[in-house]
Amino acid sequence: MTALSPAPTATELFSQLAEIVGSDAVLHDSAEQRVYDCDAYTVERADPTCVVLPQTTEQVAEIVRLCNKLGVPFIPRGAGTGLAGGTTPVQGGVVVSTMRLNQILKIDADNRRMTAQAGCVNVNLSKAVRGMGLHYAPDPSSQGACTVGGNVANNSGGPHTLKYGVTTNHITGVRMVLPNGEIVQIGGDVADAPGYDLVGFIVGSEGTLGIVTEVTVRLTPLPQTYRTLLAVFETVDDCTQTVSDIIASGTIPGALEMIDQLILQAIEDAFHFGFPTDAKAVLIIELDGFEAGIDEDAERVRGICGKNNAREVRLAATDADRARLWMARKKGIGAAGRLAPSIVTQDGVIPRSKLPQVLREVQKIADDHGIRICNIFHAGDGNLHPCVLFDERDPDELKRVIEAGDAILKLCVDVGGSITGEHGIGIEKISSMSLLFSADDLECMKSLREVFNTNSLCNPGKMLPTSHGCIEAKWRPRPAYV
Amino acid sequence: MSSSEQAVRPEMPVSTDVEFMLDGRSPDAVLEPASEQEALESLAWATRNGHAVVPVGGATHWQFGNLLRAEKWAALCTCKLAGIVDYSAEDMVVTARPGTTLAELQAVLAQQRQFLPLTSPLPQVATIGGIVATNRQGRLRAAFGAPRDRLLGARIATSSGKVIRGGGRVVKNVAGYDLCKLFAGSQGTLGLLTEITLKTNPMPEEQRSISFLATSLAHGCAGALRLQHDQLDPAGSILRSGDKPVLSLLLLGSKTSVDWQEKRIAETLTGLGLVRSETGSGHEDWSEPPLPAIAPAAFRLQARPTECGALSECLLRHCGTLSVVPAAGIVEGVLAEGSDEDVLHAVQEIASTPLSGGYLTWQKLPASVKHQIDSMGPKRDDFELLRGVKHTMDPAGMFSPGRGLGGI
Ligand SMILES: Cc1cc2nc3c(=O)[nH]c(=O)nc-3n(C[C@H](O)[C@H](O)[C@@H](O)COP(=O)(O)OP(=O)(O)OC[C@H]3O[C@@H](n4cnc5c(N)ncnc54)[C@H](O)[C@@H]3O)c2cc1C
Ligand SMILES: Cc1cc2nc3c(=O)[nH]c(=O)nc-3n(C[C@H](O)[C@H](O)[C@H](O)COP(=O)(O)OP(=O)(O)OC[C@H]3O[C@@H](n4cnc5c(N)ncnc54)[C@H](O)[C@@H]3O)c2cc1C
Repeated sequence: MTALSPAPTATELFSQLAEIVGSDAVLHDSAEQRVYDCDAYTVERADPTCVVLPQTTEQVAEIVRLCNKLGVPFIPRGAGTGLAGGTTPVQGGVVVSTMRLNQILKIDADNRRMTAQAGCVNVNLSKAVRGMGLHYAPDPSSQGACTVGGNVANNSGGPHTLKYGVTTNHITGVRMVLPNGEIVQIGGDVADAPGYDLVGFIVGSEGTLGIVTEVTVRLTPLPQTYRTLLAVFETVDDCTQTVSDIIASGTIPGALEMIDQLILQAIEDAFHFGFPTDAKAVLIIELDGFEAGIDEDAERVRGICGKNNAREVRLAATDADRARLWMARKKGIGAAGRLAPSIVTQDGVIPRSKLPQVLREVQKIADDHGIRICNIFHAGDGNLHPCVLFDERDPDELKRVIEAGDAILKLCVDVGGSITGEHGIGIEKISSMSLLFSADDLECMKSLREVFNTNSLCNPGKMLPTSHGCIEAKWRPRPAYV
Repeated sequence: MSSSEQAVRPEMPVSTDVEFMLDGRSPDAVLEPASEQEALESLAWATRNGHAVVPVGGATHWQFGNLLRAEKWAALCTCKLAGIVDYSAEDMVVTARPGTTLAELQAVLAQQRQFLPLTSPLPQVATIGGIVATNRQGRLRAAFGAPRDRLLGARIATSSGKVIRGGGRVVKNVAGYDLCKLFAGSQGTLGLLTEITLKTNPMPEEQRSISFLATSLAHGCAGALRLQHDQLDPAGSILRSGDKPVLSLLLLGSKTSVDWQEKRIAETLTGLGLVRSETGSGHEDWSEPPLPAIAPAAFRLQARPTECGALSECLLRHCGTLSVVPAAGIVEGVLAEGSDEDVLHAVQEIASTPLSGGYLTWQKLPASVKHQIDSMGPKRDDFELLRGVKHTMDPAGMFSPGRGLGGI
């Protein structure tokens, strides 16, 4: 092993980074850096040593090589909308932001492929090809802000991934800087490279296998038409049973999302869409496809809602109506922010047939812990997002919130599900990994990580539990006077 | 007899068992574990006795791969590691042991009006373990993805004597690395899949096959791509060489929708000069034709869809038969019979076809040619990573040594 050079002073680090990217692209003053101490999981924060904003793959590679030479951790970061602390610099180091890697590089509509830099905002991919009748299907609710690189790292989902598949089903290639600074192309325009599916392994790796700089995505035709229904229920049970019945009936809607009363009321207060705030829960059910036959499908779905005592099933009559429903769904968590000083969104997955039972138990967990939980989630996938409302300043309540969160995850695992469907492990769920995986499984993941990330400088302290527990050594520059 | 002896049955290997011959070599032992535990015992036996192991399911795709690099080897057969472990129709998720055949799975799913949109030659023989390990997909690729796209979870017995679990049994899951993906396309070089969980699809009300005659392969490809351009994507498509190449399409959906698709597609294609041929129906017909035993060599090219027309015209002269899945960019050719020299020559010419991105693999090659040509195509940028993965999962180099890409 080569000995690391002595830790550089912070000034040395900044000036060497500035040589690579220019001094305007190195942020090290604490005001400029403040937003980089966490992502949308704000419970834990840590200051980076500095932030760099490269514009090319080559610059990223040089930054990574420099960090290796100096033994400094580096942390890939997209828009920072992650909900698990994936980009929080827990051990300090250089945050490599993809904010300026935001160009679309190639659109090949005939072959339905697009290559974009990793910092491209998700929705911009779809906007760029809308005129060609295409879109990039994975549509996280954060799509107006989150980057395609972040989506790749977290294998993100969205309402329409029920029918179209999550990020992993739409990525055919990545160009990335490996943790040793080497640039590699993995996959490309053409899918299914012979050999192990490395693209599939990198998707969902939470920035621990290197920094993705370019992504090649599959483009999907825009559906010819939609039927978007809002089904209104008097009880949560009727609503969840409807979800299970729709899936079991063999109809796969484009999207199937549930919103409960508390969130409905918050959305109504914020946007005045005219939602029935006295209902216990609603479902947004969107069917899409060819015009021919879609009304029959919509009737079948209506029938299932009716059988489960839906009070009313409204059809979005115009594009504007449809847009309003989706806006309500996508802004729902934001609106829920009005309900309490603090809110944490849990993320667990269960088999869809267990939805009625599990939501009852989630409510019971809330009652037992004396906290309020509301729900807005990808019901068709069985991907729960219980939102816990609380006040961070109340230590006792915070404790109960954390306990309730753990109880919910355990419940998901007990019914055969998972501890995260789309938000990832990050730092938030490291300690829950052992609920799902054996020591051997985790050891195997760790050794595979080492194939890429030999010296653990790339996004350290994420996803996998370590033997040292949670408190890790923090990288610090050598004081300037040494 | 101890259970490990039962599991091993080293007396089984018979050189006359042609099925289990790899590149003209018969195995030194055949291991037939009937449980995950026995699989571990089989691996321990192979370690003690210095045997490499080559997993085998239905052996329909066994010849694919580079030359095995091992003095002694055992066929690790999944024939007794079969059957459905769990099927939750209402969740559209099925878990099966690797030796379960595709036909068996489809039959069980069909009772609940579901199916796996995966095709294979000889579905009564081809196993789900083999299908996942090859990650190969054909006529349904464009609409339904490859096996890796529906693989939700797996259990794997490794050479270090452990069983590793990747993924789970739910349709969405991002906990930890997606280990399963590495096993899609692993060709038996990383470990033994002992349990596989897949996402199923609802069986549509109506399935209909329709066919059209084209004047050339390029003409057929152009037709298929026009459908894509007009967003009339069928659920499946395949174009086969012949005097008049035949473009067969599979339409799925409600009856109303399929009627409409048929009408629009027929209008579009006849407008381009393709001629409607007899109408077939049913999903059964959609298994892939097996490779003829006499075929000297066969290749699979994955390219950009827009390049398939020209590529297939150019490759046709070397082939007895050639088929294209234009929307997925797949061109598969079976070489015409000929002398060893002719075959080698054709193989070399095909291998030197200029490709702007894409992959050429050899589904079958004479053993003599395998010394000269990598069956899995040239090494790529990511080769060192692939090698690192192999070394990590199988440090002893016990699983199918030499058979993977670049001799991994
Ligand atoms: C369009 C298309 C065309 C095809 N054409 C042909 C063709 O012409 N001829 C042909 O032979 N096949 C063909 N195949 C491939 C074949 O359908 C599948 O790969 C397959 O059915 C393999 O099943 P099997 O049980 O026979 O696997 P096997 O042939 O037994 O094994 C295939 C590979 O998987 C590995 N493997 C098997 N089981 C396991 C396990 N449990 N764990 C780990 N590794 C395992 C083996 O080591 C081997 O490398 C085609 C597939 C498609 C989609
Ligand atoms: C209001 C709201 C709604 C949301 N809705 C959804 C939803 O519907 N579905 C869903 O799945 N998620 C959702 N999320 C979570 C989040 O938006 C996604 O995880 C998203 O993909 C993160 O992208 P980002 O660019 O913000 O990445 P960041 O938060 O910056 O980073 C996320 C992870 O990716 C890594 N990373 C980022 N860029 C790269 C790169 N170029 N190379 C390697 N690693 C990289 C980071 O290190 C980190 O581990 C939501 C979040 C919010 C705040």
